[in-house]
Amino acid sequence: MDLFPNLALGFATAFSLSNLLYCFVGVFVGTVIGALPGLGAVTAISMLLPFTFGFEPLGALILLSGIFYGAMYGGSTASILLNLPGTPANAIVALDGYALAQQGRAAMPLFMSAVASFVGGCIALVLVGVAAPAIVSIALEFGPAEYFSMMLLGLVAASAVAATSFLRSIGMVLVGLLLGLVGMDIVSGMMRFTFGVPIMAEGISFIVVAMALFGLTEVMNNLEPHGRATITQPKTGWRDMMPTRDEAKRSVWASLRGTALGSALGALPGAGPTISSFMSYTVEQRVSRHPERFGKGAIEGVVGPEAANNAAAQTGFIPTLSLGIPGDAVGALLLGTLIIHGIQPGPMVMSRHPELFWGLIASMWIGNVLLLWINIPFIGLWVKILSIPYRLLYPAIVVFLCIGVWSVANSSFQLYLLAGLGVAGYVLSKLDCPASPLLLGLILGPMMEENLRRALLLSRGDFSTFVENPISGGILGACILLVIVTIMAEFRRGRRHAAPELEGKRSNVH
Amino acid sequence: MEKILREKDLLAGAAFVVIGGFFAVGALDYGIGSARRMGPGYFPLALGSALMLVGLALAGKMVWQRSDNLVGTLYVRPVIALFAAILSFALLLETAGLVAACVATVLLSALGSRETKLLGSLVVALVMAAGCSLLFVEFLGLPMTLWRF
Repeated sequence: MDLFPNLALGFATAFSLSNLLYCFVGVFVGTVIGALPGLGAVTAISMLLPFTFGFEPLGALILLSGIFYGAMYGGSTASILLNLPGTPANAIVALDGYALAQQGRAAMPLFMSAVASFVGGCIALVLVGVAAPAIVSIALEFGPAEYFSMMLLGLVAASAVAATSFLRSIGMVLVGLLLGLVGMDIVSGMMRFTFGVPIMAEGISFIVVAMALFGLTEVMNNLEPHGRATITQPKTGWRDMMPTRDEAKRSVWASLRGTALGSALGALPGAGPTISSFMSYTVEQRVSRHPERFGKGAIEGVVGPEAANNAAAQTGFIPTLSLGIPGDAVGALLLGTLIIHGIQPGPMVMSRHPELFWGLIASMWIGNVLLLWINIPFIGLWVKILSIPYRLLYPAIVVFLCIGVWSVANSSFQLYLLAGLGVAGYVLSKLDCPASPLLLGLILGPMMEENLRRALLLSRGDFSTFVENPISGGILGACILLVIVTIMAEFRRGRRHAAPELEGKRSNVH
Repeated sequence: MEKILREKDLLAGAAFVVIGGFFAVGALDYGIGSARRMGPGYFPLALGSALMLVGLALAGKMVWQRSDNLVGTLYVRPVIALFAAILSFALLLETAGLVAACVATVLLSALGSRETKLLGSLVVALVMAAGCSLLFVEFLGLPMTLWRF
C-alpha cells in the first residue's frame, strides 16, 4: 500500500499554517461546545457551517470535523463534574465519573478520559487510513444499483440501531427523503412541492433543517423546567489527576477494548459514538471481576466508553469518505459541506482529491494531540465555562442560529423556514421521533432517486436488476435481514425497556 | 378513550400518515411515468405511500400492544418565545439593521425561560449586538446593514 507516501502528503498539507489554525479552532470550539450541556456536536457544526463557505474545502472539513471529535473529549467534563452529559455519547461516563467526583477525585477521571480518548482516537485513525482506501477500490466498481442498495442499507442500519423504535426512525428517514425531493427535479426540470415560491426551487437546505432540529428544538427542550445540578469545584493539581497503580493497570485493557469496540461500531452506518460508549460500558461490566464496583467509581466505566466514543467518531469517517454515504448526522453534515464546495462525494474523492482525504486524516491526528494538550492542563478553565448559566447562554445561541441561517442564502425566507421547522421539530421530539434519521434521509434523498432512476433506465424498468447483481443483491438481503431482526426484537421487548437506567441517562440530553 | 388519544405511537403514526399522504397526493399531479422512464412524481409517490404504511403500522402497533407511553406536557412558553425571536430577527434585519435585530432576538428569546432576569438579558443583548457586528460584518464581511433608520 502507498500508506506512507500518502500520509506524508497528508501531513505536508495539514501542517500549513492556515490548516493548523483551522484544526486548533475546531478542536477548541468542539471542546467548549462538548463541555457545555445541551449543545451537541451536530448543533455546533450546523451553526458554524455557513461561515465556512468562504474557506478552502479542506479547511472547512478540518474545522468541522475538529469540532466533532473535540466534542467527544469535552463532553466528558460535564458528565463527570455535573452528572449532566455534554453530548449523548458521554452520558454513560457520568455513572462512574460523577461518583468519583463526589469522592473528591474529579481530576483523576477528567485526566484519564482525555488519555483514553487520545488512545482510542489514534488507533482508530490508523484504521481509517488503511480501511478507507481498501473500501474505495471495491466501491469504484459500483454501478447505480449497488449505490442505491448501499444507501438503503445505510438508512436501514441507521434506523435499526437508533435509540427509539425502528418504525419511528424509518418514518423519519422517509420524511427526510421526501423533504429532500422538494425543489427542481433534475431529470425533467419540473418544480416539485415548491408552492410557487421561487427560492424553494433550490430545495430545502440541509443546514436550515439541521439548525432547526438540532439547534432550535434542542433549546426549546432544554428550557423545560427541570432541576439543574450544582457544580463541584475539583482540585486540579497534577497529583490529583494521577490514578492509583491498580486503576492505571485496569484502564489499559479497558481503553483497548473500548477502542476495538468503538472502531468496529463506528465504521458501521448508523451506529456511531453514542451506541459505542454504551456498549463498551456493558462490556466492561461483564468482563470485570468486580462488577459491583460499577456506578460507584470504577475507572473502567470511564476510560472504556471514552476510548470507544472517540474511536467511533474517527472511524465514522470511513463510510462518509470512502463511499459518500454518511453513517450519522455528523457524517451527513460533512458530506453536505463537500457538496457545497463543489466536490461530488463518493469513492472518486480519494483519487481526485488525495490531498483532501489524507490532509483530513493527518489533521485529525494533529487534532488529537492538540486535544490532549488543551484538555489536561486547562481542566480548571473548562470548569469555569461550565458555570455560565444557561439563561444567559441560549439567547446567544438563537442569535447565532439566525445569522447562520440568514447567511445560507442572504434571505429571510430561510429564517421563516427555521422558525417553522423548529416548532415542527419540537412536536416531533415530543412524540419521540428522532431527528438524525431525518437529516440522513434529507442528504441522501436526491442521490438515491438519481441512482434508482439510472439503474432502472439501464435495466429497462426491470426491478430484478437490484437482486440479480450479486453485490446489490447481497446488500439488499442484509437490509431485509436487519429489518426482520429489528422488528422481532422490538415486538419481543414489548412494554419493558431494555435498560431503564441507561434510558434515563439518555433522555437527560434529549 | 382520552388516554388512547394521547398515546405517542398513535400520534406519531398519524403525523406520518398526514405527511406521507400530503406528498403522495401532491405527487399525482407531477406525472408518474413508468419504472423504465420515471416521471417526477414516481419517487415521491412511492416514498409517500411507504410513509403512510409506516404510520399505519405504528398506530396499529398501539392498538395491538398498548405502551401507555403518553405525550407529556407541551411547554408553550419557550416555543412561542423562540418562534417570535426568529421572526423578529427576520423582520428587523432588513428594516432596522443587525444591531436592532440582535437586541430584539435576545430579549424575546430570553422570555422563554422562567429564570430570566432583565439586567442579565440586557447585557447579553448589548454584548451580542456589538460582538456580532464586529465579527460578522466587520471581520467576516457578511452583507448586512448595521443600522437603518
